[in-house]
Amino acid sequence: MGEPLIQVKDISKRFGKHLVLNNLTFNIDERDIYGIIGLSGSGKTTILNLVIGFLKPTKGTVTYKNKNILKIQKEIQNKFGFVTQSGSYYTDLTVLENLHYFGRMYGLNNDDIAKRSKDLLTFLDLTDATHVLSQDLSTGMQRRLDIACALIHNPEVLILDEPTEDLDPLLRKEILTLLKNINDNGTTIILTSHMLNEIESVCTNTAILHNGNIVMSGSPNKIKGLYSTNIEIHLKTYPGKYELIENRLGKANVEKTINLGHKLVIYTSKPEELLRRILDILPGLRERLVDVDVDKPSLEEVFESLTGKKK
Amino acid sequence: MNPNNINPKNFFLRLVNIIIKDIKLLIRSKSSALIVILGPLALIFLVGMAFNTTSLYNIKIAAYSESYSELTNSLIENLKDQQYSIIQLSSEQECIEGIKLGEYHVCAIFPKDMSVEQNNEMIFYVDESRVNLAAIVSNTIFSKVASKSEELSLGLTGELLTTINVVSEEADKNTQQLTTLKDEISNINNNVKDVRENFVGLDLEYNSTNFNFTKIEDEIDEIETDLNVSEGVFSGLRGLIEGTQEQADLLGAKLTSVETQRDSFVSTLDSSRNSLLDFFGKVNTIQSSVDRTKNAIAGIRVTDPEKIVNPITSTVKPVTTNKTHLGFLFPTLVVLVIMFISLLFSASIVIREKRSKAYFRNFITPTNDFTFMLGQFITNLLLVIVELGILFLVALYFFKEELLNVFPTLAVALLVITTVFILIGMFIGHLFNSGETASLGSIATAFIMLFFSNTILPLETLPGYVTQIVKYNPFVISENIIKRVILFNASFDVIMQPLLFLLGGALIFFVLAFIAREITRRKILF
Repeated sequence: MGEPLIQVKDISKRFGKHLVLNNLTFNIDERDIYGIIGLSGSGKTTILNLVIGFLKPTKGTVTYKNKNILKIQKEIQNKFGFVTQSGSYYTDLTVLENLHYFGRMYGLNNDDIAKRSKDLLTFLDLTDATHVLSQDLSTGMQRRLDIACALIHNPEVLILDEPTEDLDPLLRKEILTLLKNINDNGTTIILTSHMLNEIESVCTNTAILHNGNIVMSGSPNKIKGLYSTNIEIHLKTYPGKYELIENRLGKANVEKTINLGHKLVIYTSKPEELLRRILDILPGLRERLVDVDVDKPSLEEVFESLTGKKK
Repeated sequence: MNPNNINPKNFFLRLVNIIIKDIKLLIRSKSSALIVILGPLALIFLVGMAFNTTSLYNIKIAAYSESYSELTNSLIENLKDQQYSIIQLSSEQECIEGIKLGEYHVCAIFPKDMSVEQNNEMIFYVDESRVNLAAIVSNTIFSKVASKSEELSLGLTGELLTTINVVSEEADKNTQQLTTLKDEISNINNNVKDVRENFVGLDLEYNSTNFNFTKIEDEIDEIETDLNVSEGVFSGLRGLIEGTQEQADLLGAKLTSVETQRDSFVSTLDSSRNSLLDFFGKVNTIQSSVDRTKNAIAGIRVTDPEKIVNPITSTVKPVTTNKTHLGFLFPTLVVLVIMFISLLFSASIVIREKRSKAYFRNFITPTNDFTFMLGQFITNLLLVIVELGILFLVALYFFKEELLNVFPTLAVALLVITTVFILIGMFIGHLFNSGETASLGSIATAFIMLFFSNTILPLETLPGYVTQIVKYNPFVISENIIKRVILFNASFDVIMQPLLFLLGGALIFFVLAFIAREITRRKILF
């Protein structure tokens, strides 16, 4: 394996007396989709701004291809694209005008801007909205426009801050698919999210941020394997009096139960033994088994076990 | 594609794109576009309508007097002459209360039965809280009253001078008569003197011894003896001689009496002469007195009543050809428009950019902050130029020659002034985070500069240390420059120093705006 594309070394960031990030170290490889998970206010956006050099770290360094990003700001600006949480484009300009303007700000000439705009509009399915004012676009199109603005100069690294925030599930899926496509074209992607399932579905590597520290990093599967000894049993019964089932099961071999209303999720280290007990107690409770599923825990459970907080 | 290639052409293209983008954003915001076009038009139209006059209108003067005399009524008529409306009230208290309530601008209290024969003191009450109006109204009313007072003085002085002239003419006449009188007295005196001398020269002496009647007797005796005639022969002769002797004695007695009377007469003549001399002396004294009076009257150098009433006249000659309030106000108005538009536009454009979703992306592009700031500055400058263009197009209707004559100097001055205010506005825009606070900051800044200028109160009325500070007020400097250019056709040399000072200020505010932009960039993230 070669040198990481981006190296974050012992980085700390303090705003006044408030220490936001404390000695973070992680690497991002080329063509990675790197996800940073954390609660709101945990410092995810600060990390991204440190990575592009918009903020200076209080301590530590961020390197891009082994060069301190603060010393190669022009190069970083030309090779990095950034998609903010709320979008960063002019709402009173049309889609094409935004692309043309930012293309010019990135120093592209007219021909390059025209070609790149056309490609991006096609790629991001914005062709029909070329001359529509940005403020009149749908939420999903606005998010795609923002990505287009970040990609206008064909960056090597695309950074996205909570790209699926405030989107409905369909749009969320659409954006995640888009990110995979962008990544397939060779662009390294760094994204933040507190939606653990989407990080899990799209990221090749992940860092879990808590209280200004990276509490765990690696591939989602690796993290799940390392940090979870429990297995999830997803139980669906009829009529579904899950409180009674929880009470009858008691604490023996049961790590935790989550009553989701339509199903009961039981965490256990001994799934086989517990499944037997469940099948035993259901007839006495007049509950009919509808569905049962045994799975490894989600990243959410790992996050919860690492941070002690529920997402 | 080589984005790193930052050459002048690239810089220029980026700059143009920023300006085009800003203008597009401005135009697409309908309210902004409306303000840009209609704002200055409405302003100049309204100001033109309001200030294109030379007079005061609707000045209400309340008047009160215990008893109105002819003179009082004449004064009131004089005040009514032009634009003042006079309301006669029934008490002094009502008059003063009217001022306090703002019903009248001046309360004039006339003395009872005002006449030229008595000491007349008029009292004016004005509302000093309306500083400018109070001063203007006081001045104009005082000048009206002073004009009437002068008219009365002229009449009285004229009468006085006429009387003096009559006295002078009479004195002339009397002087001649006195001279004649003196001559006559002198003649009489001489005559008396002659008479006296004649009298004194009369020989009235009688000596009886000169008549030797005894010898005649003796001779007759001898003749009688010689003739031996009897004594009776010559008795007739003797009787005749005796009679003659008696007559001689009588004559002698008379002569003695005449001489006594002559002496007495001479004495009387002497006394009369003394009286004449005394009289002469008195006439002489009177003549001297009349002469002195004449000399005194002749010594009056100014005999023109107008010159006596107004020995010193003062004329304020305007050094400009403007005659309307608008003419004098125009330079201030121009700077005021520039200040408000520049501050508000630039602050709001900066804030709009800061609040824009795209602000952050601008920071992470390879285009440097200077280019963005320059782009914003030029956009603002173009907007203000458009506004000023509209303003001056309208202004040409009023001051075509004045403006065209000084156009090159004026254009440069306006460019520098606009630059300063735009950069102040940009600095304010970068300091604040919301449109409301930025607008408030701009307006507050504009008002501070306006209040500490000659527009509200003369700077000379401020305390010395404040004046020292205020003279660096960009509004004061700018107003001064534009006044000099428009009203006095000042050349570049004259306005160079303040222009350089403003350019220095512009540089400082550019640096401050740049620093404020850098300091506040972190806030974009939070």
